[in-house]
Amino acid sequence: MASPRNAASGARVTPEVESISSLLLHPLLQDPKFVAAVLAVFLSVVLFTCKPSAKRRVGGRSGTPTVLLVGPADSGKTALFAKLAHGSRTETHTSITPSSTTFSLDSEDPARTAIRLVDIPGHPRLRDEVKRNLKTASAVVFVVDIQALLRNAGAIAEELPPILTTVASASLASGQPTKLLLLASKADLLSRPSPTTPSPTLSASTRQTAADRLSSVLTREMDRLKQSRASTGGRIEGIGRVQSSGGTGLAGLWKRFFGGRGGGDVDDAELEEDETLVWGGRGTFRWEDVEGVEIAWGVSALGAVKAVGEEGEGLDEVREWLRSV
Amino acid sequence: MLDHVSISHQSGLILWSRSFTPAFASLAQTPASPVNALVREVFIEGKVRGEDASFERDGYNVRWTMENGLGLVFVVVFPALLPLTYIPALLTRTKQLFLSLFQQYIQTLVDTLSATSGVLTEAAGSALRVLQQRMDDERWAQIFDRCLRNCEGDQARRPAQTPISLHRQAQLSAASGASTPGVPDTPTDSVTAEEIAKNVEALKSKMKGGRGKGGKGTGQTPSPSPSRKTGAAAKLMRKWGDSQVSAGDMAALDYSTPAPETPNGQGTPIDVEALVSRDAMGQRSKDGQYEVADWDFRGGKRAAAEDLPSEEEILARGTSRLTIDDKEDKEEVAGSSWSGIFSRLTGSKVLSKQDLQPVLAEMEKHLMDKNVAKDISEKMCDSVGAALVGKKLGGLSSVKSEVQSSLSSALTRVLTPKTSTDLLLDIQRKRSASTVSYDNALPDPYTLTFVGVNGVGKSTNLSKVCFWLLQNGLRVLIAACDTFRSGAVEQLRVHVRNLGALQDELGVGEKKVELYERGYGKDAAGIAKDAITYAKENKFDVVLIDTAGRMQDNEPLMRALAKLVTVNNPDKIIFVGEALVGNEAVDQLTKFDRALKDFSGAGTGGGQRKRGIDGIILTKFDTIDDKVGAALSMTYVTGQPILFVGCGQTYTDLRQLRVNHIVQALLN
Ligand SMILES: Nc1nc2c(ncn2[C@@H]2O[C@H](COP(=O)(O)OP(=O)(O)OP(=O)(O)O)[C@@H](O)[C@H]2O)c(=O)[nH]1
Ligand SMILES: [Mg+2]
Repeated sequence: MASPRNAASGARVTPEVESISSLLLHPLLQDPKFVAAVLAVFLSVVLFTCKPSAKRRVGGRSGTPTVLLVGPADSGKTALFAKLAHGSRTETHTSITPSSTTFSLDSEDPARTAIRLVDIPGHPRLRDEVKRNLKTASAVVFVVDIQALLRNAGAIAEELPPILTTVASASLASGQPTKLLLLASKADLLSRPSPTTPSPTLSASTRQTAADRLSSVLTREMDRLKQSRASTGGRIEGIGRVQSSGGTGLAGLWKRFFGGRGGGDVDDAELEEDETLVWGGRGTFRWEDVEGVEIAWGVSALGAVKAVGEEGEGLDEVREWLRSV
Repeated sequence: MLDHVSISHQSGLILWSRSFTPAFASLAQTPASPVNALVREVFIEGKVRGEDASFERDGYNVRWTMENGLGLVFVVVFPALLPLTYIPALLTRTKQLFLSLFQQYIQTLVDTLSATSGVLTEAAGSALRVLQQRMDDERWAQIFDRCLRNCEGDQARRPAQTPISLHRQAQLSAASGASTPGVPDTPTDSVTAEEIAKNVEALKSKMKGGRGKGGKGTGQTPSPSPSRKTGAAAKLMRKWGDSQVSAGDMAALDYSTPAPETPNGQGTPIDVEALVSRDAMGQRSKDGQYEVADWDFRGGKRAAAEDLPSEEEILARGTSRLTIDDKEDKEEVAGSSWSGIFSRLTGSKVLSKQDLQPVLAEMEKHLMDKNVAKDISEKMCDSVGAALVGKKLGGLSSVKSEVQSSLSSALTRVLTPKTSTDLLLDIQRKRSASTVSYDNALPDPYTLTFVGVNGVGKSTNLSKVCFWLLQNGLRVLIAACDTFRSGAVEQLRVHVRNLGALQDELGVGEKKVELYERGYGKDAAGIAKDAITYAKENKFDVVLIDTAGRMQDNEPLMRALAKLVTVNNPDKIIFVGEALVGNEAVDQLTKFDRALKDFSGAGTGGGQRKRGIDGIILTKFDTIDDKVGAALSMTYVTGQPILFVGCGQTYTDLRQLRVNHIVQALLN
């Protein structure tokens, strides 16, 4: 093992190199067959591990589209994810890690309707995950609990600008607009008496109430945000990158290949995202002004966990939108 | 006696759960559920250290155990007032049983939950349903019931045991010594001994080749009658060398030797005592009805449970599967490092405490080198370690890079603000809220109170914030409430003059910044109050309150600060701290936070909410190179965001924190 001092100074490569070099003296290494086998395994593993990252960088937007479920905590993302991707209305608790499943929307035509759905935890402390995943997404669903919206309008809306900004700059970079669905979830809770079937069919008026509430509240709050943020006044810059030694040469190369996120997102610092992409020109906020994002609205209802009976149409809007992705 | 059990995956999907009371059943599916609180505060925000610590919320006690390899969380909720000692044993036992039964199905589910590519697989859509079906097929609910019953039974019998066996021993020795024949207990006792031996044999044959998983509950339960258990345990140990016998194993063993129910019914003293202790437990629970229902339900299930596979059978099933893994592990430890490298390449290396220990120690030291407080580096590394034990090491990543990447996300989590840091927005919201509620009344100004120890740069950074607010077109009043240190008011006067001059230069007609001062030696709380009134009358948007620096241990001064907060109820209390502090950071912030909470709550009839620190300004950031540890220490302690970073002497040297830069600096 490397001395702690040495390792602490950022040379994360040392332990690997040392363990390998110590192995060179091993008797098994005299056997050429064994060496060949190990090399073959090594090569295939290298190819294997490098494939996804290469794919992400080049063709993130072709092939199976990746759709993200984002939004505040407890808005019903995981419930939606379980229902859409796993066909099951299960109980959930606050998510800790993101999860993703590839499934097809239409069992008749699985290949063409396949999507990869990613459920991102809504806890503010995990906001980092949202940003990291947004860069590879071809479409995004922003899930809003339509009941909580009245109580927490401000806080919920505040999550939108960073998402819009990241999405907008990603689509500008790739030249393809990204689709964003603003979804009013749990709409079944608005109807009286509360429906008892799974994914209940909503009455036209309930659906309308949910849709109106979502768009009016979000638009109002976004307008407020625009008034306070888009103003010219003094913006406070972020701190610069903290200078430190190391991280170049072999170590840097190694880091890029194998270090995972431990090495930090080097590209991130340069990619200073600009919120002006979201705010558009003067005057009130308009959704059309958000550059590079195709915004759609929707309403969903999953019903209670223990619901029984006929499957309703509560998810039809979401499914329809997903098909269009 | 329990309220709720759940087995879930970290993604948030609950694989199986049961609420034992209707009240909890309705609570379980709300954001306010104690399970959700546990996930948020312990798993995400990392507030409690280990599984041994319990977590209490709203009168419920929550205990949990993790399975990191699969990402499972096992949670038990019970009333906080009940001293249930069997919970840890129940958790480990449940975990063992659940994994033995369903491991492969869970693995499939977990794999489909981490689809990195867009490739459709057969299992994807159905894995969750298949697992749930499987649980039905195996009658998991009943297996759990039996497990719970066993654990409960254990606790119920235990207090009775020791005195009885002592009593018996006394009788026994009396019998042998005085050779009094016909003491009814003596034959009973010998029967029991035989039964034990038989059961040990049975257990051995059932678990042949298997290895009992070590249970951590062993130490927690009150020590049982030594004559029986240690004997049995010793035998088992001899047989399998390094394996441990879990409390659960012993419980099962114990349960199958029903000494009190011997045919001749002479064991009455035992029976009575067991019954008494059960009754006592029943009375302790508040809700008598539920207790009855619980009994009924168990009685109903008891008959059906007869043909369930025994727990040992289940575990043996699991262990036979696990032995393969264990062998691999052994080879690694013992043999050449080839197999280590090899299994690492194929991604089958499972991280153990021993693997992690040196790397964690190194990271801990590294963090401390970056000026993170000792306590906090320890806690961070502990929690990272706890979350990694049992995880599979994938691909080519070394233990070190694995640790580093999870440390990196742990650091990011701590540093990422939980609440909005947009002051301007907050100011605007308050203004529009107060204009809406009282039509033509003047809006209340937004107040910020700056607190901190001496000499950290409170006044300087207050003026920087002031400059920024002015630039955003707000009218600012600075209240000089440092009535203690000589020169404090003059210092602010200079700042205000400078800021005023800057404003003039920028060509703003109206005078936008003023100082509110009342000299020295007066009550700071009173001055602040007057300042706020003055600001309201004169249509200032924001009041910045400068307070005297004070040491966190000075109780009278801390009380005075709390009074200022109670009287004026500022919108934000901002702690100003130096980036230079190391271990001191923890002490300063905890004490400021606690003093504010304790003393401000007590001040006025308790009607007001308790106030703590709402945000942090980290100063002198330009003097520390890459030793940015204070940023971590401060956010860790308070859970509050760093609103600004001061990095120089001029008014424009104010920055926003960039979490990823701090994390990078901490790890490099
Ligand atoms: N009635 C009803 N309840 C819903 C609906 N969607 C979700 N829920 C419930 O809302 C609660 C929270 O849902 P989750 O899916 O866990 O929320 P989440 O967005 O994943 O939350 P985080 O993981 O904390 O971000 C659960 O108890 C769901 O059962 C719905 O359409 N109707
Ligand atoms: Mg979730």
